[in-house]
Parts: sequence; structure tokens; C-alpha cells
Amino acid sequence: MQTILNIRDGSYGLRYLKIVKSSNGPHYVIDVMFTMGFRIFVDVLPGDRVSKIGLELTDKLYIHRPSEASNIKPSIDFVAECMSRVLSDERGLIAARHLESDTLREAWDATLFRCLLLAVDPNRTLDYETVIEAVELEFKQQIV
Amino acid sequence: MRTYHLSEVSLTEHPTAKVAGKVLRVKFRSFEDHEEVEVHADLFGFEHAGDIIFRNTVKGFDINTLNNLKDVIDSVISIVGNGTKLDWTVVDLDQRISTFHNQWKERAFRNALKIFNVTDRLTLEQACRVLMEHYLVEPVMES
Repeated sequence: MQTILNIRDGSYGLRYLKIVKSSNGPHYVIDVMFTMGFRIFVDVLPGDRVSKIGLELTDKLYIHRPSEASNIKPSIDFVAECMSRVLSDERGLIAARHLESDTLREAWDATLFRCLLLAVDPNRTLDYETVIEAVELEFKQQIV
Repeated sequence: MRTYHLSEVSLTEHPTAKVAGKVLRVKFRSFEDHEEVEVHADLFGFEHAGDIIFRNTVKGFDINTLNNLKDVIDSVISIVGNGTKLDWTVVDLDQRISTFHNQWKERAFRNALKIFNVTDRLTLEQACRVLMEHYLVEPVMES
């Protein structure tokens, strides 16, 4: 069973993200293809810390593409956060999940939104109440 | 063409003409590759408000970005415009500039939400969850 997200515009230098649920064990295979043709995959188990995803992807990056690692690392960080959103439980551990087709898309968009916040207000100078109000207003205007 | 969102607007003392001048800086950041572009204008007291010129306006800015620049100029004129001239001698100048900064932080945020199309990409609940992570959960990293 697999869930795949094709990245049509090649954002973050990625072609697709895929999570495959193993048919003969509890583990998941996380499969990442970059636009340059580079592909890496890692196995993770329910109960592992979600931070393991980023660490293992980074290890493979340094093993296979050491000279390009600094350029590719931001993409790896993005993928790791995106995958964590899909697989993490509330304690930061990988949970056994039945993956829906929209799950990866939602995680991708949420990660993009977080990157936007880091770009617009990296030091969190705005009040939390102010940003919540701004977002609620945006959604209200959409309904009208 | 890149799509830029406003990331920072500041009005600070001019490095060589502290009493008479201010520097208006506007930073934009691209959604595509996070490239940051800064434009700035030297503003002097009693200069004609309509003469605010950004010295390094980047060719290829889209209409949305240029409109943002125009809004910034209109805001400067509204807080330190005395008729048609800029005036750094108004009594509550510091307060006005502080209000200007706060106002633009919020406007930059709202502008980014629109360009990002947050309502098309996320539900309100999902957006609020990400905001909570960013503003309440994560520790602030010392730069």
C-alpha cells in the first residue's frame, strides 16, 4: 500500500514523495525522488522517534551526495518535517497509520505554510492573537 | 517571474544625516526560492513627498509587489507628511514611526497570507495548528 505526492512544479528540487506501507512487516518505507534524478529511501518503524526520519535521510545524503549535501539539505529538512506531520503521534513517535491519499498533500501544504511563517516573521515579533485574527479574517472573507 | 511577499519595512536614521534624514528600507522575499531583495530610499526632511525614489528597484517586480511599494510610500507620507513635504520635526515622530513599523509587520503578514492562498491550501483548523506550533510551541532560537 503506498501514498504518493507528485511535485509537479519541482518545488524544493523534488519530483515526488512516497510512503509505502510494507506488506510483510510493520515498517514504512519513505521514498524521495529529486528533480536531478537522485533518489533516497529509508525504513522507519512505528514507535521510532519522528526525528529519525530526518537523521536517516541526512545520513544517506552525506553518503551518496557529499559534494552537493549543503544544497540538498534544506530539501531534506522540508521532507523530514512533511513526513513527520503524516506519521507522528502527539508524543513525537511514529504511529501506525492508515494513509489516505490526501494526507501527504495536506502535510506538504502545512509545511509550506510553516516555511512562510519562518520567512515572514522568523523572530516571532507579531502577537499570536494578531496572527490568529488575520488568518480568521482571511477565511471569513473567503466565505463572503 | 518570481512572486515576492513583503518581509520587512523599516524607517531608520540616515547614517550620514541623522537629524535631517531617514532611510526607508523594504525587503521582499520570493516564494519560489526565498531570494531576498531589498530596496531603499534616502528621505530628507522637507523633501517633496512625491519624490520618494527607491534607488535599486529591481526590474521584473510583478504588479502586486509594485503596488506594495506604493502602499509603503503612501504610509510614509501619511505619518510624516506635512502637506506635500516630509517633516522629521513633528513632536511625536518616534511614536509615529513605531506605529508605522507595527502596522507594516501586520500588513506584511496579511499580504503573505493572500499570496500564499492559505484558504485554498489549508482549512482554518490546519492553519491555526501551524500558527500554534510556530508561535507557542517551538522555543525561540537565539540568533
